[in-house]
Amino acid sequence: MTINRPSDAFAGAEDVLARCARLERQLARERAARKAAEDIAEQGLRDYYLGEQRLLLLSRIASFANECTDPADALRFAAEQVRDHLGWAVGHALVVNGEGSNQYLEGTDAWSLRDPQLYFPFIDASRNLIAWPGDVLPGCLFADARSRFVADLPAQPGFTRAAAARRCRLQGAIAVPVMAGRDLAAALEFFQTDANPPEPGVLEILDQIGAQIGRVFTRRRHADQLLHGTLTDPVTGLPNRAALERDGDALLRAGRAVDADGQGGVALLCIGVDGLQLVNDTLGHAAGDSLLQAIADRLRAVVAALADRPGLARLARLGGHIFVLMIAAPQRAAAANALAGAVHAAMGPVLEVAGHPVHLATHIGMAFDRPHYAGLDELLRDADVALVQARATGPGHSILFADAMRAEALHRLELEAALRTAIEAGDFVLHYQPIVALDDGRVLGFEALVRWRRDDGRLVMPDQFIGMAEVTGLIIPIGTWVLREACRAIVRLRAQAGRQSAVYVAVNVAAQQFQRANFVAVVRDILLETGADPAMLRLELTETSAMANPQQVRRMVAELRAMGVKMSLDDFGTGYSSLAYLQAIPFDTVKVDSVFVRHQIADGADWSIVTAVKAMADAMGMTLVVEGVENEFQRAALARLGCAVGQGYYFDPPLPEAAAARRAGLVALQGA
Amino acid sequence: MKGVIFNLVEEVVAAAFGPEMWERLLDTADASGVYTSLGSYPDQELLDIVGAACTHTRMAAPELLRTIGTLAIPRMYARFPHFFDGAPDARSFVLSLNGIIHPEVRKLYAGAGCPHFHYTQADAALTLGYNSPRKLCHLAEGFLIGAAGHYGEAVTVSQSACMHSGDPACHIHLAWD
Repeated sequence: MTINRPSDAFAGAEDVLARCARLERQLARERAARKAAEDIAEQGLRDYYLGEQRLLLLSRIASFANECTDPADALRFAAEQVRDHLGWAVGHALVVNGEGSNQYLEGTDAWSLRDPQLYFPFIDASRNLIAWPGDVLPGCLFADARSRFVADLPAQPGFTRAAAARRCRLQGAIAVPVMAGRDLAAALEFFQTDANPPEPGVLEILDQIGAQIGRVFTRRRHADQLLHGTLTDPVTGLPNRAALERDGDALLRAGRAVDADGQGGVALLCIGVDGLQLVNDTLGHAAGDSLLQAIADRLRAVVAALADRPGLARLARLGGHIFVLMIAAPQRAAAANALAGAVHAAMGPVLEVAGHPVHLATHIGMAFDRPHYAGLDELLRDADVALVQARATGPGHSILFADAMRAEALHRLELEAALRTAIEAGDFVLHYQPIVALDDGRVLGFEALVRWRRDDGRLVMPDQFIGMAEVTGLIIPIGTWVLREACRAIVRLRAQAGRQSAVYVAVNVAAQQFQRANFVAVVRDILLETGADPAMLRLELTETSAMANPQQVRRMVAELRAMGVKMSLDDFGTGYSSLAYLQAIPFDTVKVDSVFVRHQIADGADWSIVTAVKAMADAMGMTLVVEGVENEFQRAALARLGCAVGQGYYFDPPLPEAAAARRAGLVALQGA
Repeated sequence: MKGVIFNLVEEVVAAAFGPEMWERLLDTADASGVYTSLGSYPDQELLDIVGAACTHTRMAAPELLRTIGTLAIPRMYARFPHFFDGAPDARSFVLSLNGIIHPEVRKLYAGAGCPHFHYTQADAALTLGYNSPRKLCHLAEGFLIGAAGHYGEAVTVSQSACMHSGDPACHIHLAWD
């Protein structure tokens, strides 16, 4: 079957004109369709082009931000790139300044301008610009950290640059937040000469750009924190030695500027605080750290009190227990002395650490800057020399550096080296001062006293080297040597005594020695090693070391007594004892210091202290030993008061072991 | 040259001289006549069509181009109204060519070779420096006249220097009455 097509069916009937008209309509439709297709394609191409341009912009800025270390460079680059991309007139960067709730945006000199000469009035009006939170653009970014467009910024109430913006025909504005993490770190602002809104999607891209630039700020912050970490003592938060060394020479120069008449300039205080080692050893390092923090707080308070006086002040922790306080003042001698006084006063009150009272002993070495010093290290070196001197002088002293001290310091250095050698070689010897019954002079025991035998055979008395040994920590090995040697002597004396009753040996224990956690174990090991009878060993603690940490002392004294060792409280009456503490610590013997005896003479004797101590010792069941008996008057008076035991030059000086044994009436065993 | 310019010229010619004229111009110029707005076509093809139009209309090329430019503006407005809406007056419109309109044109038509104008401003006058190798300064004049007409402003357009006269650049001068 054949079907005729419509055109064929109507071809004969249709006239040519109608056909033309139809073709024209057809053509018009085709043309319209072509235009519609072109419109769709144009829109698609435009969207593609815009997307590509934005991606390129974002990628350029991200690459730059990756390489960039200076946030200011990143802001400048982004301001230029974004302004160029938008085709706008003006781009400008602002940075966040201020702390906490007082943060604000401050204008920078990072500008991007399409036509520089047209926008000077606006740049001028933006100089020293401060934008507070809550303001119109850009301050509003604090409250809402998203890019924002305002069609006519000069018309907004509160826009302080409105007049200049109008003069420059600026209307539309965009502000872009630069976020470092969750914090607004900076902002970019852009202005154009019309009120047309940006293309859809632009503000979102600008947010991403702000985040990319923010990464540069974040990296810078981390770098700053790292640097801060290397320049800050982590325990106290004070600047450390590295910080002081970094800034030191600049501080010296600044300080030298203060010197108008030769009286002024930099003074450096080297502050040593003793007591830290004890806390570390007994209460642990966490307690030691909190002690350091408390010390730092006290020093900070001293500096804060200085703040309204003229001059600059710098506080640092040099390491260990050494702090440095540096000032520059027109009258530096007076200022430094006042400051040293203030430091001693601040360190005076007893601190409580982990529930324990801690006494601090502070020494201060001072040095003044001199023109010939090449740098801070020389000033520091001399203050340190003065500190050693101050420490040797005793707690609470401040000493100003003098050139002679350097020679002394050198001498001390040599002495220290010789002492170390002596410890290795065992170049010490013990002498024994008899402790006697006051009524008949019978020897009951000895106090062992150390001497240092130098190469030339000379014996050096303890007052010549024990101070140095304490400062350097060498007191520990010396103390251990003394203890071991005394125990060996106990064994020898015991052997010599035969059937006679044996005599005891009293050994002085230094505070540092006793404060070591392993002291009891050391005593036990030496007793086992030497075979000495613990009952013949008497350990003498000074009042000061007994009171430093009463709870621990009580525990250790109890442990030592449980081993059979007798405990003696030495130099009683010279330190600051609390009778309450004393009652809690079970000493066997109390030794009255020689100062209460030595100066008693026939015409003006005052035995009240000795009487009181005797009454106390009796009440507590302790034996009393009186030191420093120098004549018969004293011996007789003390005997009358009921004192049974004493020692002193009236009876005997310290004697070599053989002489001491003879004095005690001990006869050497055959072949011993 | 972008196809959209051919399309505009076709529309203007068809409106002014009838649809047949465009067919005749294509035949005379031996041009393909297949132009989509997005395509790019040889500049010479447009110049040939203009040459053919001069022959058929007995108009001189400058006058013919000026006429085409003037008549093209209402059609441009119909096609790209936002180019005009962003500017409140003829001066703003002209000044936005480099910074806004031509960048927008490049977004629509990748690779479009838009001319760059150097502006010199005075109170009631504006001079555009133009030095495109296409030397279509008279078409530009027509566009400027058409733009003034769009905003209902009376502007006299003239050239104080012209590349066709051997000058290195054309100076198209606009004077507001």
